[in-house]
Amino acid sequence: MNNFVIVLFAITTLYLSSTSRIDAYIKTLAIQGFLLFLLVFFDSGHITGPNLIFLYIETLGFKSIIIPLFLFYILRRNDIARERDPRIPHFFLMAITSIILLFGFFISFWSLEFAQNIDKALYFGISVSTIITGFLIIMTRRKIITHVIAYMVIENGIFLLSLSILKEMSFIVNLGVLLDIFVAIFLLGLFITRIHSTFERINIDSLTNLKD
Amino acid sequence: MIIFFLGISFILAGGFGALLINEKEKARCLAIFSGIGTFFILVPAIKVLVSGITITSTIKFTYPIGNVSLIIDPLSAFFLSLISIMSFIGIIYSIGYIKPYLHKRMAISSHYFFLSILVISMLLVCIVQNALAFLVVWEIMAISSFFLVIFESEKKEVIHAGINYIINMHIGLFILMVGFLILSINAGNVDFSSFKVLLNTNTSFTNTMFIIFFLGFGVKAGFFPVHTWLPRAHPAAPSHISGMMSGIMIKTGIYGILRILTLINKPSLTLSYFVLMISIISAVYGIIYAIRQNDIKKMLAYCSIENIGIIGIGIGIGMLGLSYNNNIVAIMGFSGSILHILNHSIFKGLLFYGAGFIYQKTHTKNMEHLGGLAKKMPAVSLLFLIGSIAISGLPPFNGFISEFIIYNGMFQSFLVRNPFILVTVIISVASLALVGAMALLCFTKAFSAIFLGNAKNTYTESINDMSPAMLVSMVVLAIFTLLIGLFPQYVFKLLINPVSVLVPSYHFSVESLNFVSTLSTLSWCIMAFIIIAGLIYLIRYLLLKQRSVYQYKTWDCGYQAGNNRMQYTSSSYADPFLSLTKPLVHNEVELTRIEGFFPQEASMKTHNHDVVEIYLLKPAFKGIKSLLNLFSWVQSGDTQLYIFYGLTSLVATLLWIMLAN
Amino acid sequence: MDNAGELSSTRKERSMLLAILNILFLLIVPFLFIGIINRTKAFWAGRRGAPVIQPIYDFIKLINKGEVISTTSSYIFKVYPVITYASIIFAGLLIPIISHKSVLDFKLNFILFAYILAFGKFFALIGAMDTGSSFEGIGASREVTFSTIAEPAFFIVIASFVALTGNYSFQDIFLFLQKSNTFVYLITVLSAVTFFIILLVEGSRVPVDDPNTHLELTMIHEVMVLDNSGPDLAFICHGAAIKMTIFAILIANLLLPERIGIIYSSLLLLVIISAISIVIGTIESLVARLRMTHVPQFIFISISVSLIMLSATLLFIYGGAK
Repeated sequence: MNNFVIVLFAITTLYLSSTSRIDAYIKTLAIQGFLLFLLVFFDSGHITGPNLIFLYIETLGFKSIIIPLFLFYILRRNDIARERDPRIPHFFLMAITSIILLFGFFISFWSLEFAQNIDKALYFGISVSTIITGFLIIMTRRKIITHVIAYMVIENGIFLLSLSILKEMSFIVNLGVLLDIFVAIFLLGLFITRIHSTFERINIDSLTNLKD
Repeated sequence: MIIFFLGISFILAGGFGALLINEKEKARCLAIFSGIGTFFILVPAIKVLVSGITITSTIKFTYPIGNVSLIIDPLSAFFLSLISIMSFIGIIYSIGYIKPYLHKRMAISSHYFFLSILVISMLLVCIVQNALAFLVVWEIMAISSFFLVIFESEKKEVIHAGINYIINMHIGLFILMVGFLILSINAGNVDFSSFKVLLNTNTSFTNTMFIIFFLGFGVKAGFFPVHTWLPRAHPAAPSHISGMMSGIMIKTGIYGILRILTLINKPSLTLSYFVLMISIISAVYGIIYAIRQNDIKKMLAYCSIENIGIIGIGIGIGMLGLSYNNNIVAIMGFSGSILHILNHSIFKGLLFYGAGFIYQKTHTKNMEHLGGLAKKMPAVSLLFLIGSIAISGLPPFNGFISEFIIYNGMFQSFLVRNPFILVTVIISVASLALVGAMALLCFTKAFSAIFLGNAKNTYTESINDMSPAMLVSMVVLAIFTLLIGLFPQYVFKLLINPVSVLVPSYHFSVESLNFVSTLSTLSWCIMAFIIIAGLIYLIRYLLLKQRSVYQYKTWDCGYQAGNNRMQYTSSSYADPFLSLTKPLVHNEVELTRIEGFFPQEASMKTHNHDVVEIYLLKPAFKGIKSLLNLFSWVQSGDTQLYIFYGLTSLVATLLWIMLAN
Repeated sequence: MDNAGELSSTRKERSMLLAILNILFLLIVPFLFIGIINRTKAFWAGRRGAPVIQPIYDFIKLINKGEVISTTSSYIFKVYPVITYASIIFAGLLIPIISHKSVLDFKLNFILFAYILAFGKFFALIGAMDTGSSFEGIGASREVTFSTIAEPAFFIVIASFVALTGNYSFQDIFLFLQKSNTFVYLITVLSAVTFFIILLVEGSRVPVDDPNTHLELTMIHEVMVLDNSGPDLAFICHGAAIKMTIFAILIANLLLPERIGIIYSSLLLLVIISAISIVIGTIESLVARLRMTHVPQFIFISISVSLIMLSATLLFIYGGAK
């Protein structure tokens, strides 16, 4: 059952790299959050007590519902629809993402042999591929809101990584992840309107002027 | 230990309170809270200082810091008392000093917040025994003091000085990190006590490590040649911060050196001579440069370098005693230096606060533009005079006592029948005397230029309104100066416990008691001197009662067109001496000469620069800059390219780990 | 005063008598010292000269006068002569005078000696600057430069003595200096030369400073006290005389044998001090004052001599004693 959810998770990252509509990104993010909730739900034998409640709230509440709603709100506010002119064409990005996915599976099988203390090897491999995919999306897209969404994807990957390595869910790792999310959404939400009004487009090309 | 943390939390509460309370009451709020906090901190500190016991406690952190053990031994207790009392006095002073800045929309609340953080971090530095926690608290101290230094951030040179300061602090931090890393890796543990075994096995390893730590802590303390931030940061900072930095923060560097010294059982001869030589050079260098300055605060900053040199001379003598297994020399050297730490914070605080007072009333820090202030503010002039006499090491004030104890250590070392040590010690005796004489020159120059003679400009602001907070803090410091100078035998008894941490095999011997009796004879003699002076003054008063005393202008040899600019200025006073030191310093002179035969406009400007900065640091930084310019193409400005760099390195690392297996 | 254990009443009386004698010696002999110097200079100039006790008459005359205080000066000007005078008298109490005994004797009292003199000098300097006159400023700046250079010489000499004899106070050093040994006597002579140069500096004598020309030619000591008058000036002049006599007493005690009786010792002391004053007067009459830029080099000679003395001491302690 868990493995099925993991593979679904991997497919969502593949979908991310192929589309260029931003509300598709946000919906994918919500689905990823729900998949993580399912993982925690099925795994609840290991984790008990307040930690578990916390995890449920985090995955179901934050990742699946609140953050996507907030992002949709920003979308409506600023009238954004599509991601245009990525750095490399969609086809190449999809190809690279598939290679990364394969690489992730490869890492899972490698860690089964060589790194014995990793409990759920598949989690480890898929999480690494998710993180790298997130970075790739930041590297190749231009809009700031896409960057924030890719950042959320990276956080999801880290969440998955901590599920795989640690025997019990470390409170501190979760707090760190929540802090990152909070800061990113906070900054984005509060300042996106100001950036829009100042630069009149939400591309990052003009940021190269900050070079020393 | 709980009481100690109660004290710290009071100071922290004061800092937070300063963020919230309205402008006029910020300083008072912090003062009240830090006063209560100081009281709570002094309770365990004085207990440890007097009785010699050690209080320990442990805080458990997770990896990688591990367990942090906190120890208040008498050495830490001395520093804790010093830091808490002096910070409290400084905060009281700032109540009055900050008044003119209140309605100018300056960042006063963050200033007081960072002041509380600085005090707390300095207190914590003295008790942590874990290398990582130590580095964390050290860095907090550096950063909070940076924010305090750039209080007047609208002036460009203040920001420059602040950035210079923070870069220097980080260079010191880097050196310390290297030292602690090597020790922790070799010992397998980050706790200080585990370094003890490591440092006592191999002499050359111990020597290298000590020199690394000496350099790292020396950046904070202000030893030559890593002192260049001091004369830039102190004039830029507001006066209460300068006083606290020079009085307390520099001494945390000395604390670090002493703490490392406690881990070494018997320092080698190389180390002792090294410390002694560097300290003598620092002292002489500092005071020569102090004489060259016309900015009051820059002069006081260089004077701090000189006094740190004197403290270092005391430590060097103590280390010599430890190397030669002569306990008396070690005790005398270390007690002299520890007492000088206390004395220096007292009289340097007094001088900086006086300089702040002068700056507040006259808006200039340049000695050449001042004069005649003794008639306008006699109280401040008297307090500054007390500070000047104390810093020149003259009786009846406290500077003399610490130098006396260091001299005693030097003379006792003659009992070690070794020609090399005899020559070194006599050279250090001569250097200490020379430094004292030069300090006398420096402060007679400063006092005369600022307070005596005629005013060279007219002063615009009314000088008479004195803020009571500023006066009270200065008077308290002056009273401390006098008390330590007149009753040294009781003060020496308090020093025995901290020194015994450094000289572990000490037992309260007869010789030490003899010294206490010497000190009490000394104190009686000084009081006899004061009585003699009083008697002669009485005779003079009685003589003049029946005679006429009338006032007339200064004798001018009949010249009728005299004006106030004709009196001797501070640079002219110092000139005969400075002309002797010309080969040692760097003078830049801008001269526009008169062309032709007829009178025209001409001007001359002199700049004095620090030799270390010009010949050592500037070329080094130029070289580094040209080297790094070769790599400037890496910085393309494109964030996505930077992420690409990061991602490739991440994937490469993963591949490497996998292939290595 | 003795630091020994039990004192019989006669010994206590003896030490009290000695202390009073020392203080009287300290206060009265300086007048004669200055008088003899002036008389010697008069002799070399072919004049008859003032009587040897003339300085006493001058002192009494000044004490009976009133004062003129400069309007520029502050409270410092009124107190500094008293403080300088008191510091010099107190320094005189620390040195061994008659039969090598000092009034106040304790370990390391030479440090207090040097620093109390420096304390007096601090106030002399700021008192001079207080008048706001360029004359006093010149004097103060030169005075402070010269005494700064001379300071290490004194300490090197005393430190060498401490190393040589192993004793830590003036009285003990002088008492235990074995002048019977010729090598030690050589070291003593070298230190006497150093002290003599320091005397010339501190007492403002030729070739450092000419006490006869107050202005224009030499502006060091004499010009610092231009604005003082009345009892203040009396204190300053007497203080300067006492300072010179202190160094002369140190030189004399270096050359005298130790452990001699009171009368014999005071007579010998007077003889040697008179000899020193005659020498000073002769030098003043026959030698010209040095150019101002050469004076620091001259004072540096004292440091060089003290370093030679230090090497001789080292040779004595660690080489074979001659």
